[in-house]
Amino acid sequence: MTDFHEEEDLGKDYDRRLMGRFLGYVRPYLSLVGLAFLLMAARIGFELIGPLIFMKAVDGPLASGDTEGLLRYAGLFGIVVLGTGLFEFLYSWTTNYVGQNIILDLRMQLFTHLQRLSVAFFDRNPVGRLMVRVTSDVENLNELFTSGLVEFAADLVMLFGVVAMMFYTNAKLAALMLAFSPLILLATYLFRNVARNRYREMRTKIARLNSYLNESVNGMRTIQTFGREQACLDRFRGLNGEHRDSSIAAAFAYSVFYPGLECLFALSVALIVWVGGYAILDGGLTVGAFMAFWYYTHKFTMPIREIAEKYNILQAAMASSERVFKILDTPPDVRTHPDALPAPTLRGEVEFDDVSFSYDGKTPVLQNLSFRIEPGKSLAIVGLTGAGKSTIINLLMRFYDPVGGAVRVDGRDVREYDLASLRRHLGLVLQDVFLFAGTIEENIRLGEKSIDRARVEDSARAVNADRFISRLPKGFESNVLERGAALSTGERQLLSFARALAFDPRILVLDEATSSVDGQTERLIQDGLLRLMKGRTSLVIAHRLSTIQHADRILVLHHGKVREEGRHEELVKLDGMYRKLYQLQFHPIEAPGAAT
Amino acid sequence: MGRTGAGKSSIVQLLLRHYKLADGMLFVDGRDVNTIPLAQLRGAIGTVPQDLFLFSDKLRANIAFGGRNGVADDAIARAAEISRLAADLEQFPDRLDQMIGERGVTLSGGQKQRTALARAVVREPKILVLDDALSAVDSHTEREIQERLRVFMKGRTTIVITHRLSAITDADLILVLEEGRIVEQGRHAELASAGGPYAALWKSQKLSEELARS
Repeated sequence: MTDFHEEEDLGKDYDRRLMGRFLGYVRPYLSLVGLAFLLMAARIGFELIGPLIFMKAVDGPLASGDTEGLLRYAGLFGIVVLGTGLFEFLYSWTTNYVGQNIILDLRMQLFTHLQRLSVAFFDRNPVGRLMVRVTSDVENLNELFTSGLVEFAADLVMLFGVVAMMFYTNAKLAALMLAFSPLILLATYLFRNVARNRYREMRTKIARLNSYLNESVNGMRTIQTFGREQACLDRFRGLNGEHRDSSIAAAFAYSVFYPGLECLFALSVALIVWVGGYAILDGGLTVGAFMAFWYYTHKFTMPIREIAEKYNILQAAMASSERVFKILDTPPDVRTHPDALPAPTLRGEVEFDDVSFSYDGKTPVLQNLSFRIEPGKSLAIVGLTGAGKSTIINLLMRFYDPVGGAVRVDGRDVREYDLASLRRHLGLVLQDVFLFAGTIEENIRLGEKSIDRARVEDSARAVNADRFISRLPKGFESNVLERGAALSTGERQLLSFARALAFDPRILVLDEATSSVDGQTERLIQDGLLRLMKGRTSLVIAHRLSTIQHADRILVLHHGKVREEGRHEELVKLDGMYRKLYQLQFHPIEAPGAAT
Repeated sequence: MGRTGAGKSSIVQLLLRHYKLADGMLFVDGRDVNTIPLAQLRGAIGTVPQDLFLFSDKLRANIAFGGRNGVADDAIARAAEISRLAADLEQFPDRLDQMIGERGVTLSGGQKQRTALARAVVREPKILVLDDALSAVDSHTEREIQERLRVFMKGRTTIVITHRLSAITDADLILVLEEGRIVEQGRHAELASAGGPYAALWKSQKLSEELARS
C-alpha cells in the first residue's frame, strides 16, 4: 500500500536512536559546539552575577552613603550587562552558524542520494513529497539542533544556576521557593501533555488542509467540469473549521498554562515578600539580598516555561528527522557493485544475453531476449507499441536491472561496471527532449566543464543545429525557456543531437521522435542523425524510414521477443511481420498524412 | 478523430467552456453556449478526459463525485457495472470503499479510466464525452463497456475522441480533424471507402490489429 497518510504523522516522542543519528551530523562542528557551550555558560554566568553586584551595592555603599563606591558598583554592573549582551551575540551567532551548516550538509547528502536513487523510486514518490523532505523537513532539523540541543542545555544550566544563586543569597528563602517547585513541575507536566496532543492535532489538521488544497488546485478542471465547486467548498470549510478549532484548543492550553504559572509564581513571590520582609525586620536578611533574590525568582520560571514549549518543536523535528532518514536509508535498486570496474575506454560492443524483464514482477515485458551489436555498428529496433522497445533502452542505461539474463558491454555484465563511468560512454537521446532553464550552450554542455565553447559550436554544426541557433536573438546565449526562443519539436531534437555529440559517447542510444516535422527540418534531422551515428555503436528505436534503411541490422520485436532479424532489404523480401510494420509505420503508400 | 494536436480535445474544452470563445461559435440545443448558465451547461455534460484526475478518497466517493449531492448506492453500483469497474472490485479488499492513493496511484491505468467513466455515467448526462477514455483498457473489456454504453446512451448524445477506429464504426457522424480543420466527415462506411485519410488510417489499423494478434 502507499503511504499517503505519511504526512499526517507530525509528532514523535523523543527517540534516542534518531537523536544519536542526528548527533552524527553535529560531529564535524564539535569544536564550534563546544565554543557555543562555553559562550552560553559565560552568558549565564554574567546574567547571574548581575543581581549579586546589585545586592552588594545596596547593602554596602548605598546603606553607608558612599557615593564613590556606588559609582564603582554601577560601573561594574554596566560591564556585566555589556558582557551578557556580547556573549549572547557570540553564542547566538555560533549556534546559527553551526545549525545552518548542518542543514547544508544534510541537504547536500539528500540531494546526492536522490540523484543516486533509481528511476523506480521516482515512479513511486510524488515530486511534492520529495520537495518537502529537502526543504521544510530539513529546516525542522535545524530546530532540533538549536532548540533541541543547545537551547535545552542552556535552559537546564540556567535553572540550576538560578537555584544555586538562590541558595547562595538566602538558603531559607530558596528552600521555600523550591517547596513550590513540585507544583510548578506538575503544572508544567500537565501542560506538556495537553499541549503535545493539541499541538499534534493542529499540525495534522493543517497538513490535511494543505493536502486537500493541493489536490483541489491540481484537480480544478475536474471540479469545474463536474460542477462540484459547492461540495468541495463545503469539504474545505469543514477542514478549515477543524483547523481553526484545533488551533483555538491549542491556544487555550497555552492561555491557561501561562497565567497559571504566573499565578503560582505570584503566590510564591507573595510568600517570599512576607517571609523575606519579616527576615529583613529581624535583621536576618539584608535589603540587597532580598532584592537579588527577588530578581532570581523571576529568572526561575523562565527556563521551565521554555523547556515546556520546546518540547513541541522537538516532536515535529523528530518526525521530520525520521522521514529524512527514511529517504537516506532507501537503497537504490540499481547500484554500483562493490568491486565494480571503471570503464575508461570501451570498444562499444553491446550484447543482450537471454534477458527477461518485468516492471511489476507479473507482466513479462522482455522474454529471453538475445542480440548483439558489433562495435561501431548500428541496430534499429522496430515493433508495435508495447513490444518492449523502450525497456531495452532502460536496461542498457541501467535505469533498471534485468530479472533474468545479462546485458553486456564489451563482453562484461553492465552490473560489474562503475555506474557513472559506464553511463559516461552511453549517449541517450529521448523522444521528449528535456530542456533545463538556461542558455542553448548550457543545455548542450549540461555543466560538463571539459566541454568548451568551441566543442559546443562544433557539435551543433555537425548535427545541423547551428542554423536555427544562429537565427535565435542571442545565438548560443539565448535562454531556451524565454519567450521568443521557444524551440520547435524539430529544433529540440537537433539540440539533443548536439548535446549527445558534445559528450562524444562510444555507444549511442536513441529513441526516435514520432512527431512529424516539416520537410526541411526532417532532412536536417536525418542528415544530422547519420553524422551523429557515424563511427559509434548505435541502438535506435526507429521511427524514420532513413534510419531503418541505413541500419546495419534491424530487430523486429514482438511481445518482448525477437520476431525477425536482418537488413532492411532481406526483411522486406521475407514478407513477414517486418513487411507489414514497414507498410504501417514507415511507408504509408495510400495517404501520406495518415500514419499514427 | 485526428492526430495528436489536431484540436480534438480543444473541442471538449470549449464545449465545457473551460476557455472563453467568441459569441456564436458553439451551440448546444441551438443556444450559444455563452448564454447558457455555466452550472446548467456543465450539469448536462459528463466527461472522461484524457488526463483524468481522481481524488485520494474512496472509490465510491470518486464515483459519487460525478453525481449531484447524495448519490444512491445502487446508482454507484450501476455506474461501476456499466464501466466494468465492477469486474475488478474483487481485487480490492474494501471493494467500493477502497481508498485510492494520491491521484489514484494504487489503480492501474485501465482501472483509473473505468473509475472516471463510472463517475461520468453516474451523472446521468445528456451529453457524454469520452476523450481517449479507454486507451488503457484491454480490447475485450472495451467491447463489454461499449455494449453497456450503447444501452445506457439511448436518447443521449455521445462524443467520442479516439485513436481506435473500431470503437466508432457505428457512430452517426465521424469528423476527421487536421490542424484544427475538418478534412473529412461522414459515417464509417462512407469514409472507409472514400480513399482519404480516414480510409488510410482504417486500413493501417486493421493491419496493426492483425499484427498484434499474430
